[in-house]
Amino acid sequence: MKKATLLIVDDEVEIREMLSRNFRMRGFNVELAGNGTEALALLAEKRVDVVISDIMMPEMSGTELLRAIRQQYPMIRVIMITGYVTLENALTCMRLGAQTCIFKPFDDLDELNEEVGLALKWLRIWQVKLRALRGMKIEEGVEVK
Amino acid sequence: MAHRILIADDDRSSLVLLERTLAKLGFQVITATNGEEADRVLQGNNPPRLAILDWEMPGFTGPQICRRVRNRTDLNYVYVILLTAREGQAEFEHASAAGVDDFLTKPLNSAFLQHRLAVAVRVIESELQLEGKQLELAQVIQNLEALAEKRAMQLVHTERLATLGTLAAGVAHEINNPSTFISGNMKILKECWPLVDEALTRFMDHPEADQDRVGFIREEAPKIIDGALVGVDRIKNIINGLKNYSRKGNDQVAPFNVVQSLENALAICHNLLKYQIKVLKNLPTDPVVVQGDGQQIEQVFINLISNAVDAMQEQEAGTISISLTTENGQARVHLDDTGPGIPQQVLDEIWTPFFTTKEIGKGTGLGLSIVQRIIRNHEGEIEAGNRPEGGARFIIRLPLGVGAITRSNDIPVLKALEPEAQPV
Repeated sequence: MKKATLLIVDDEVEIREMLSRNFRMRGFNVELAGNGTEALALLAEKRVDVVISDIMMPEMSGTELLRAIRQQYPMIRVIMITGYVTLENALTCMRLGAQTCIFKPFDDLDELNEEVGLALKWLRIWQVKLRALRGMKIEEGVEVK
Repeated sequence: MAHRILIADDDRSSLVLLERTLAKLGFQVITATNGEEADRVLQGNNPPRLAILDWEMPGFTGPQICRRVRNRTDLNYVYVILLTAREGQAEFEHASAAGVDDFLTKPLNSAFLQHRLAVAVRVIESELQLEGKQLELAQVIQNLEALAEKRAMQLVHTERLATLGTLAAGVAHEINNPSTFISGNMKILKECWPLVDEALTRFMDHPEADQDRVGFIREEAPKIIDGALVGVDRIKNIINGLKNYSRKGNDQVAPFNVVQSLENALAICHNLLKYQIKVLKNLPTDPVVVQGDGQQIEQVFINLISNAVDAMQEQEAGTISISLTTENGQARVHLDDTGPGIPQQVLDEIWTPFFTTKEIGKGTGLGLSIVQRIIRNHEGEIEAGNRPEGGARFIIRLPLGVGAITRSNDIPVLKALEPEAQPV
């Protein structure tokens, strides 16, 4: 089973590094992008399972990225993170189809880790179904921790 | 009113006659028999406002006395009438130059005397009125200046708070990011540390290992990590406190049950309370409905409960008593603790923003000022005091039913600076 791949999108390098560290420690592959445009370029080239993205970013905001991913990559789950704790942000994320919206500062990374776990579980369930329908073997899925 | 008048004449019979005449006219007469005496009276404190002076007298002449009076700058106006037997032009100019107001020729004609005195009295009374008005004006100006200064200071304070509000909002967002990655990194390090610790333990067996140094690092590193995490947590609390200053008016106005708010607050504070604090509740079973923002009121109770817990920290055990009654269309909440109480001298100050008795680092001092604002926005009132048996007591009153929040969309602390409505 391959390791799952996460894409972390945030305009602040320290945040990207910190989250990268955290998920690599837990056994994931991690890709990084500094804004929505970079993220989409990366998604076109590499296979990604879950995207974790900030909302406020230059060039393309997280919500625009979210919209684009929902349209172009329906199998990718998106977890939004933001420092702007507002009802509007949370509602927008929900309406645009994000898995969830987590507010900074993180008290600890538990919620985020849990959401990634849930995303991958969801992914695995769909993969199993789809592969069964296509007649492929179940083992060829993605490792879910 | 009897005006005081000085008459000065070295001719005694004239003086006596004049004195009688003036007394009959209702004046309070002061006499002088020579120039020196007259001068002394007019140079003294609070001289009479009217004077009839003979021209030629031993000591000072009438004009001389008059000139000396006019030279005083500290004096209110004195009306001087000169008695003269002379008529010449030169003498007239001399007297006029000395500042004399009017002349009367001897022998005195009663009618002329009365007329001239009437004029004099009119002038003096006019002067008196003017002086009175000047004093009033000076007072009004003083009051206005004081008011202007007060308003200017209020304006500066308001602007500072508005700036603080904007800054707070911006700062809160800006600090969120570094706060996030510091705490995230520290948590990761904490997770990785056991492996490092194990490696260090094994290393301690190595002959080249500096036992003391390795021991020190093993001992201190976890504390360092935890310390950093405590720091980040405190930053977060301060930012949350500041954020309350930039709250825009998203007050949700709706009916809510105060009993429920209290229960919610107690539930949220459960962790704080469970070990040493006993809670005595005296709450009605039926709902107590108030109009306003239930979340904000809950926040008020959470704040007060948490303050009570902090107050009793040093004690082994403590009790918080909460009671809710309704009377006269009001809901009344008593929140008591068995702590040390609030010192008399700070009782008035506790509502001021940034006032805190906690040591540096514990508490931002913003809580009670916000609590008071929220309660007032709900058309209620909050008081603080001490119980006779010891401990603090907070009393909150809120109007029942409809019509609580009238001012949403306000920045809480700024409202405190608006001019008080005049009591009717």
